[in-house]
Amino acid sequence: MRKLFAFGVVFALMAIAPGLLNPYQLSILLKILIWGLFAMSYDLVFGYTGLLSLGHSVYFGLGAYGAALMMLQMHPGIAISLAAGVLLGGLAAALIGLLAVRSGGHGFIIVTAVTALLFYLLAQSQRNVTGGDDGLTLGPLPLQIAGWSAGCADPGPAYLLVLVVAGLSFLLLYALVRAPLGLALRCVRENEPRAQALGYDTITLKWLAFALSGGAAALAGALYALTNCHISTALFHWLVSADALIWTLFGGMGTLVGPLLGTGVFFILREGLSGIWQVGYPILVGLTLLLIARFFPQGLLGIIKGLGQTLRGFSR
Amino acid sequence: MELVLFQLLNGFVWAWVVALMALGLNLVYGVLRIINVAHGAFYMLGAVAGWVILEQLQGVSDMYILNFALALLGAPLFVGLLGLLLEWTVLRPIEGQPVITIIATFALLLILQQGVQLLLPGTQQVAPPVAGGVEIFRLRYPVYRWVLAGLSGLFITFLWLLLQKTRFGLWSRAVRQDPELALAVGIPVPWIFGLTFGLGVALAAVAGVLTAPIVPVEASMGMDILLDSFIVVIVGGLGSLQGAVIAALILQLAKGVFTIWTAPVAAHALALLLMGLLLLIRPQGLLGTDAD
Repeated sequence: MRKLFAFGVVFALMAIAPGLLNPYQLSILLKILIWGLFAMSYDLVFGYTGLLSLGHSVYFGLGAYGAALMMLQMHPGIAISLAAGVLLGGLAAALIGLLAVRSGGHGFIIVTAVTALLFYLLAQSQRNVTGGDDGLTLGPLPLQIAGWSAGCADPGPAYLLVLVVAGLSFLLLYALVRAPLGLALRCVRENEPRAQALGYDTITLKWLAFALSGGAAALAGALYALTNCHISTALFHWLVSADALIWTLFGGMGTLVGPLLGTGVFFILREGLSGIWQVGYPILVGLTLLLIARFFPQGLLGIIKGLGQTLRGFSR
Repeated sequence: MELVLFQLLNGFVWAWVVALMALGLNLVYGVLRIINVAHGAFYMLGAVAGWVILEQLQGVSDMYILNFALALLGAPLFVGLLGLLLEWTVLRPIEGQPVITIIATFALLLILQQGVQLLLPGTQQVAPPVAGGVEIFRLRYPVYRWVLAGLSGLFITFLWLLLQKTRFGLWSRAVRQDPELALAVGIPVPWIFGLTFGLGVALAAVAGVLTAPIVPVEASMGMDILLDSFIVVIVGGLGSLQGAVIAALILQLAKGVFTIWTAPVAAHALALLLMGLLLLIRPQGLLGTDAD
C-alpha cells in the first residue's frame, strides 16, 4: 500500500512536470522515461532471472522500426503503430529466445551478442528499408491535446502519452515480478538445478522472461521512434544493450525501480558533464562500473537502503 | 576469377588473426572462467603501442624490419604486463562472480578505449615491414599479408608448445581442470591466473601489432574483431584450441566467398548465420567436449 502511494505521488509529480520545466528539460525527462522502461525490461531478464543479455538492443530497434515503418507507410493511429512495434519486437524475442535460453550460462551471452551484431549488419545492408546510418525521419507525433501539439524539439503532449504508457508498463512489470512467476524466476536465478528439482520447467521460465522482456523493450523502442522524429540502425548495436546493463547495475539490479533511477541519474549526469568533458564521459562510466562491481553490487538503491537502515539504527 | 581468389586469400589471412585472438580468449576462459569483453581493447592497445614504438625508433634506427620486430616484441610485453597488473588489482578481488567479472572487463574496455581516444585522437598509419607483392594465378597479392598469416601461425605454434611442453603449460592445464586440487599439490595458482591473463591479452596485442599495417590504427578498431573472436571460440568449442582455428577459417573464408555475390556487410551477416547453423548442429562446438 505504501509503495502504491509512493508510485502515485511520483506519477502525479511527473504529470505536472510540463508546467514546471522548459521544453528542453521536458525532452530529457521524456528520454529518461523511455530508456528507463528499456532498462526495466532489461532488469526482468538480467536482475530477476540472472541472464546477462547483450542482445536487447535488437528488440528495442525492432520495436522502433516496426512502429516507424507502420507510421510512415500506413499512417494509422498512434496505438496501432505502437502495437506494430511491440508485436514485431516481441515475436522476434520469442523466436530468438527459443535458441538463446537453451545455450546455458556463458553461451547465452555470446548468442545474444551475436544476434545484436547480426541484426545490426542486416539493418545496415537493407538501406532502402532502414535508411542505414542516416536512418529514417518521421514527422512530429500527430497528437494534440487542447491546442497543445507535439513538435520534434518540444515533446509537448507526447510526454504525457509516454508517461501514461511507461507508468502502466511499470505497474504491469511490478505485478509480474510480485506474482508467483516472479518468485519462480528469482528461484531460477539463485539456483537453477534446485529449481529444476522443485519441478520448475526452467527453460520455459527463462524463455517466458526473455520474450516478455523483449516485448517491453520493443514498446520502449516504439515510443522512442514515435517521439524522437528520427531513428537509425545504431539502435541495433550491442552497445545499446550494454547501456541498459550499465543503468540497471548502477541503479540496483532486480528491483525495477533501480534501473529507472539509474537511467535518470545517468542521463542527468551526462547532460551536466557532456558540455564540459565529452570524451571523458565513457571513462567516468567505466570507473563507476568498476567501483560498483567491487564495492556496491547492489547499486544505488542498495546504498540508499543501507543508509536508511543505518539511520533507523541511530534513532533507536 | 581474380576477385574470387583475392577474397579467399583475404579470408585465409584474417582467419589466422582471428584465431590468434580467439586463442587468447579461450585461454583466459579455460583457466580463469572469465569472459574477457576487453579483449578487443587489448588488441587495439597492442596496435597503438606498436605504433608508438615505431615512432620512437624512427630517428634511432634505419632498419625498419628490425624496428617492426622490436614493436612486435615490445607491444605484447607491455600489454601482457598491464594485463598481469589488471588481473591482480581489478579481477582478483571479484573472483568467482561471473556476471560481476564480465561487467568489470566491460568497464576496462570503456576506460582503455576512451583513454586511447583522449591521448591519441584520429587515425594512425603503420607501414608494412616488407613491401611488394607476390603473383599467383595472375593476381598480385601483398607479401606482407603472407608474412602476417605465417607469423600468426608461428605464434599459435609457440602457444601450443608452451601449453604442451613446458612446466607453465602443465600447471596451467592442471589449474584449468581443477584449481583447488592444483593448489593442494603445490601449484602457485594465483600466479597461473595472473600469467594466463597476461599471456591471453598479450596474444591479442600480437594480433594488433601484426594487423596494424593493413588496417587504420584507431581507438575503436577492436570492436568488430572482438565479436568475431567470440563467435569463433563458441563455434570451435570452449576450451578447444584446434576448434578455434578451424572455426576461424570457416568464418573468414565464408565471409570472403559471400563477398563475391553481395555487399561486405551482407556477407558478414550471412557468414554469421552460417556459424549459427553450425552451432545449432553442434551446440557444444565443433571440437568441444565441455558441457558449458
